[in-house]
Amino acid sequence: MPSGISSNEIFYMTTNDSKDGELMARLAGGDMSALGELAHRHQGRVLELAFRTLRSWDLAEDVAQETFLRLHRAAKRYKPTAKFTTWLYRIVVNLSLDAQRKRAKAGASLEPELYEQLPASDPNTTEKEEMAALVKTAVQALPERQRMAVILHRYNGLNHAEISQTTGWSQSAVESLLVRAYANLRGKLAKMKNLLD
Amino acid sequence: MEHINDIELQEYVSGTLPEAKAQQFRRHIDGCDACKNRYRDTANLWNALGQWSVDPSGHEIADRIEALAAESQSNRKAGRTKIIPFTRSIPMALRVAAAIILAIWGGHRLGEYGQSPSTPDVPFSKEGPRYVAALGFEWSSELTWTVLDEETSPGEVNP
Repeated sequence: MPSGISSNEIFYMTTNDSKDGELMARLAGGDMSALGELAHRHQGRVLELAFRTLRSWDLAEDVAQETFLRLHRAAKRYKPTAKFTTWLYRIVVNLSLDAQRKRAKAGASLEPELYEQLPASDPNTTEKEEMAALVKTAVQALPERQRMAVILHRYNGLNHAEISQTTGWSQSAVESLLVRAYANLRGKLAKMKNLLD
Repeated sequence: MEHINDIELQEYVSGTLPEAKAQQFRRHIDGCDACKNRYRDTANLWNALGQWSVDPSGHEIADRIEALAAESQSNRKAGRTKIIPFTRSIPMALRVAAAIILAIWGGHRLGEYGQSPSTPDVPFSKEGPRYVAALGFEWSSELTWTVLDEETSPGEVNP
């Protein structure tokens, strides 16, 4: 059974946050090397979040780069009132949703990497790989807001309140989105598994 | 304790609940078959979703950001101490002077074209004082009447 956050984790989070705050202060003071350090610290999670939302590495890289440039522009206005990552994710979420809408408006055809069919029943595919492909397809098939809520909750480890702060949606809206999203996923995964078995 | 709702169950499974609340739920789930089954379903889904892993290695952008940052920093530093040599500033001064001359000449030409060909005559009496018009006052203006009232005899003034 899972446990809550331990005191060690709280110490880790606080230390991490204060380190980010310190880097932001250096950046605001004109020390550009702090931006590189911030990028090294957070690029992994930023890229993952953008990729899970956009399903394209090219777009994810663009979003990640723009995120850090915006960080630089906003450094002087930054006040460490909320968790640094919540603020950072907010930038990524907004940029990703913008990119997604632009792509939809442009009517871009799905790139091969975006289009994940149900995995063929390849005897060499392990059950784990098969499951991963099913999950990816099921998450990608969710409506935009449900998908974003699930990605932030399941893959970025944000709680309901943090998702609300990150997206700007009310906490009750986030909770309702998550309940519907998980119910959808349960149904989709069961259906896909039946189709494959 | 009442049954755990779906929202609380999600928070519990994701491990984001405070420890005291999590313990309370743990005790409840141990003693409640309905919640135990729901917990199992939720945890299974949570674990299944965890199978989708993403590996961003090979797509790192930090080095790019670092290079941009270093470039921007060096540009800024160079900008502060940059001195333009006198010989290089001459063409710039000539261009500025030429621009000013062109602007003045253009303004002058535009002013000429902007003038209306015939300006309306300012009415004044036959014997009326020409200096009133020369001063730019209009005959009909109150000021002119005031002046003429003082200077001319009745009957000489045009309406």
